Amino acid sequence: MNEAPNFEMLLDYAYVTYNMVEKVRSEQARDSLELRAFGLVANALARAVDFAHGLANSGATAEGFSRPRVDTMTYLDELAVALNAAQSVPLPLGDGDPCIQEIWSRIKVAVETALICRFVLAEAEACQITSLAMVESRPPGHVADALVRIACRLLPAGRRDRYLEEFRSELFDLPRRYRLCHAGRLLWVAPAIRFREGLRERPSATRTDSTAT
Amino acid sequence: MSPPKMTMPTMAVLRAMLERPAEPMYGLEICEAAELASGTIHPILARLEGVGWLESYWEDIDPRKEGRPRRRYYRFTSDGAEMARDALARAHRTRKRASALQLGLAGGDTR
Repeated sequence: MNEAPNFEMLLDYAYVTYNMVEKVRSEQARDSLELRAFGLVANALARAVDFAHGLANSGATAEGFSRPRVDTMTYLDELAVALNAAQSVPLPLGDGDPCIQEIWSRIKVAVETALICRFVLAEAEACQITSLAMVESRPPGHVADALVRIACRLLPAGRRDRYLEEFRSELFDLPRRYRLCHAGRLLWVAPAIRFREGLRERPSATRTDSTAT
Repeated sequence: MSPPKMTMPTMAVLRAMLERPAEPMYGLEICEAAELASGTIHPILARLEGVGWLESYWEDIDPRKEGRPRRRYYRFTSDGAEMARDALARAHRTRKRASALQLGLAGGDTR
């Protein structure tokens, strides 16, 4: 397994590069196509690394990728934008400006780090597919599961299985850190659900029928 | 069964679901759209199902293939969306009247 990059360091690097470009553009009143392209790459990369940073902070790799796949694809898209933009950057004309030269070298490093990010992401995604293939191997957590079971015991017998499956699927969809609170709230509202479900199970004579005379 | 009491959370759930009335939504999705705490909407959904405005069904997937448990989806019944819209409009009018009355009283309007 490839070693995960230090996303915080990459994020700093990308933002510093972006700020350098902006500084040159504003303070030196230079706004060449070259600088615009550099700014685009640095900005896209910063956003991509920012996203990766968020994913990395959401827990262990597989856990982080249990978030909707659309997030992962957004991150990949951001990286693709950065890489495409990098490829369209014209080579510096070698005007000898050390500032431009430094930005250019930073952009090259940034693109390399983007490639590493992409590789790590692809590996992590492969791990996720493997781990998600075994749903039962990712229980919602003992305490959260116990709370949900207690909540379901408070419900009418005929409804327990339906709600248990529904509540467990919700726990599965939530990041681990939110599961306990969610299970606690389900336990809290269980009497109210029981009341509502109890009303539904009452004989139809108690219902208000609009067609009744 | 009588129409549901139009509490603020009930109205939030209905508004969220009426944004795309033909589209089914699952519990967490509704919570997010209605900006309510997760898990708090199940009594409301049970009530709305009880009065026949909503119906629920299991998602038709193979959990092993998809890598996650199936979800319980909720959608409006054939006339549920219309009834929900009417109820929301009525609740809105009532609230408007109540606030106008309060303003009138506060302003010393004796009409």
